Amino acid sequence: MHKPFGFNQAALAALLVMTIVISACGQAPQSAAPTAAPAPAPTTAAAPTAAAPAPTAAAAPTAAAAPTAAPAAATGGKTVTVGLKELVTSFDYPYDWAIVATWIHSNIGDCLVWRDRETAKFVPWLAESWENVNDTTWRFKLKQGITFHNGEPFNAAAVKYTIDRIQADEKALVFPQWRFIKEIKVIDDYNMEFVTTGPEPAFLSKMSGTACQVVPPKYTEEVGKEGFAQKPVGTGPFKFVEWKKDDRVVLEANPDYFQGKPGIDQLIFRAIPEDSTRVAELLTGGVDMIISAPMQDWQRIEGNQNLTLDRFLTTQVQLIALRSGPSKTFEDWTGITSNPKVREAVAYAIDRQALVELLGGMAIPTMTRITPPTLGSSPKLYNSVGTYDPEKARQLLQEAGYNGEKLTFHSTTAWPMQKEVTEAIAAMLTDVGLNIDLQILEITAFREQVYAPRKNQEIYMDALGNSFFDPWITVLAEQSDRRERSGWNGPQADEADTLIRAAAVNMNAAERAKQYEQIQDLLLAENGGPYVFLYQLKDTVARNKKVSFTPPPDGFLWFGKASVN
Amino acid sequence: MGHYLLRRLLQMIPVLIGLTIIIFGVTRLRGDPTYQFVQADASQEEIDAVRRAYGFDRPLLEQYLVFAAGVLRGDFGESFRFRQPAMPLVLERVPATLTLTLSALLVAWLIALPTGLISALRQNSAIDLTATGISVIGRAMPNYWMGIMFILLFSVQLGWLPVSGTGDWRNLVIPSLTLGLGLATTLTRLIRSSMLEVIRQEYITTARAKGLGEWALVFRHALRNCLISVVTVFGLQIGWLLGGAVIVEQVFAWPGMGRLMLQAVYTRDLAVIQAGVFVSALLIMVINLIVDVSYTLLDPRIRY
Repeated sequence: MHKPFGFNQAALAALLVMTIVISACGQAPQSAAPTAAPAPAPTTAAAPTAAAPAPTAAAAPTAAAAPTAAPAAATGGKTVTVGLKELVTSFDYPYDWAIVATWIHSNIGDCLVWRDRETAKFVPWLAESWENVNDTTWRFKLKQGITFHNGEPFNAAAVKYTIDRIQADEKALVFPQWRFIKEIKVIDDYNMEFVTTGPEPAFLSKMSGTACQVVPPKYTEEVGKEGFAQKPVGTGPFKFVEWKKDDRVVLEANPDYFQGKPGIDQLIFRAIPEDSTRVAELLTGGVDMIISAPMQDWQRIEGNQNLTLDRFLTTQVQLIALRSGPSKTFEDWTGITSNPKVREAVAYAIDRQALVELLGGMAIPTMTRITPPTLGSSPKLYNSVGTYDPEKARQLLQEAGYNGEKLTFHSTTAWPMQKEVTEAIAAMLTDVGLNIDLQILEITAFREQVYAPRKNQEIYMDALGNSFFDPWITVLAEQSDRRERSGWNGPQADEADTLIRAAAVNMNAAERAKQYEQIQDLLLAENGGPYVFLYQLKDTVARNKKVSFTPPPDGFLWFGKASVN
Repeated sequence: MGHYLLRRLLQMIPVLIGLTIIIFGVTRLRGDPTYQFVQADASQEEIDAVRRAYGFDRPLLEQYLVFAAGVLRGDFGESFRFRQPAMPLVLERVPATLTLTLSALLVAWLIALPTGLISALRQNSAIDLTATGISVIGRAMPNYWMGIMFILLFSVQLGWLPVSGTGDWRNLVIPSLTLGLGLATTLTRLIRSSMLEVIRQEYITTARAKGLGEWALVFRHALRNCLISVVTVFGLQIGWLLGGAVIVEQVFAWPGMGRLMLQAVYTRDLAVIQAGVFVSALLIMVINLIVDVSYTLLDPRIRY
């Protein structure tokens, strides 16, 4: 019979394919190591990632087979492609307040005021200057000759329209955030006044906050909310070109930008949710920059002669919140952490130094949520490991009459190494004799657990940021009418409430700073408060060296001054 | 045939009604969905206002009827993540997912058909044992891991193909290979066993005795009979393929329905989950109908 198939050849081919696949799983050959230029030394040896969590063990192999040189991104020209975990869900600024959206929005639209993230000072942006006429009135002079991308003129009417529009829609996510303005008076095209509902020391901070980008009234009216959400127009350094949902956002340089044409012709943001894929894209030149590079890939990135890895401090502070009593959403709650001595014991049982070491130096220990350069940051509390005294903790528990009652501890895996840190903390608490019921949840279930009535129990662990760089938001949850989650009460809580309310309207910056320092002391579990602050997180930006961009302290991705070499 | 098609289409109606009840029930199992629509620091008054606005304060049956009436109009509600109607959001992702799954199907058949046939015709030979071994290994490797390996091999190591995202056909190669290989391994085993059974039938022996060549024997007489059982299983595997697409779309940043659904689940975007499950179920039903109709092409004795 005729023999139609070459079995041996086919078998050999199959074996060959298997060999190649297996070789891909192995270590990169030594010849792939950089030879042309020495790799920059990592600033922290063997540091774990501060990146968003890499939930899957399979992420590790990405590092294995990187070529020596990452080629330039495929698009050519002065194009910069940035790989992010996710993209915007709306281009209508008040309806998407995720940090990634704020970054992208800020490259299209401008605000009156810009916050310098190095100093926390405010810089005139679309505004020429401002003056605090009295406690509730701010007079602004606007820059002249600026136009929106569609040619509409930028003027006071546009600013008023922008804020009126937010205040008219209760469904806007940022609606509560913009209620501080009572009245806007347009004096002429380039002069206007804002009247606030009360003394507002955080006025400039709020004016540079989420959804502060000025919109063109005529265009916005024409296209409506839905139209603007799909195709935004601003005054910013980049014009909108294309949005493919969950795929890419394409922007092009605004040649008429009032601060000069950007050094990048085309700016592309791509959604690449998987950590290992994002790194592979950077290594192969598919993207020029990624945020939150996983720790296991740092060496590979830093060993590549065309790439560099920058570490920066985020505003996120990881903390432990202790329920201290019943609240209006959980009136019959009873738990052992209502005893201040138990809260104090928890504080002394935690070894911050060990936690920071666990994070490989990608964190700064802190006993406060108000971190520099924000007003009111307390030097004695920041960059401090506090007191770790397990013996004292045991003694406090004895004094409290603790008898092995269960403490439910909710945490999530949303933040870097949070699972490991949570387990370490649970072990520390168990070590001093507490009976911990540890529950690590995925982020959405965790949020429900913490925020829904009758849910949050004795302990939860979260990381909270402060994109305003103003202290008011960091203590707001402990104002007496907002203590649903902590249920904090008693004379100390009353004192904190008085201070929180006074500081929120104190126009004297020096006095206000002092008030926040006092509040921070009161909030500490060591002093009978409801919080144990742990550390401030760092993060990374990995980029091709052809892109000239230095991440600011909070990693804000604004590319108006970035360039391509 | 027309009668049969009409009957099958009508049968879909109760299935879809049952589906809406299941979708509605499952999304309500988690309790009050109000908390997905309010901000973290919302007061109790604000929460109650949202509950009223979305009708979550009404009796469950009334809520279901409102939901079902919306479904009839194609209105599954508004995605709270995108602040847009959910169904158009899902439908605009369908082409990307179909492109991926159809390419994966092509890959699966291109691999499985020749491999399965050769394995059967040369049972226990080196090629059969190799194919069997690779099938077992391929089946054991999860999509996720395989995707990462392919990225390492074809993109990072060899530099042949882009890592992820959309663009041209090159972007489709690794994702469809990743998704298709799992199915290919199943189909290979099925084609092999089915073909082994068919070639032992008497009519094949008769044809061979008449001197018919190997190729003609396989393609004219054996293949069509062998494929009936394969196609049946293949239809059942479509759901598996759509499920696998969720993972593959995530790994390769492919902006399809699976990724949208995954994000919707993460963020409890109920309207998108409901619309996505509905569309997926509809796709599976339609594809299975096509599979059933294809029996008539494979076996002329089958008549509807």
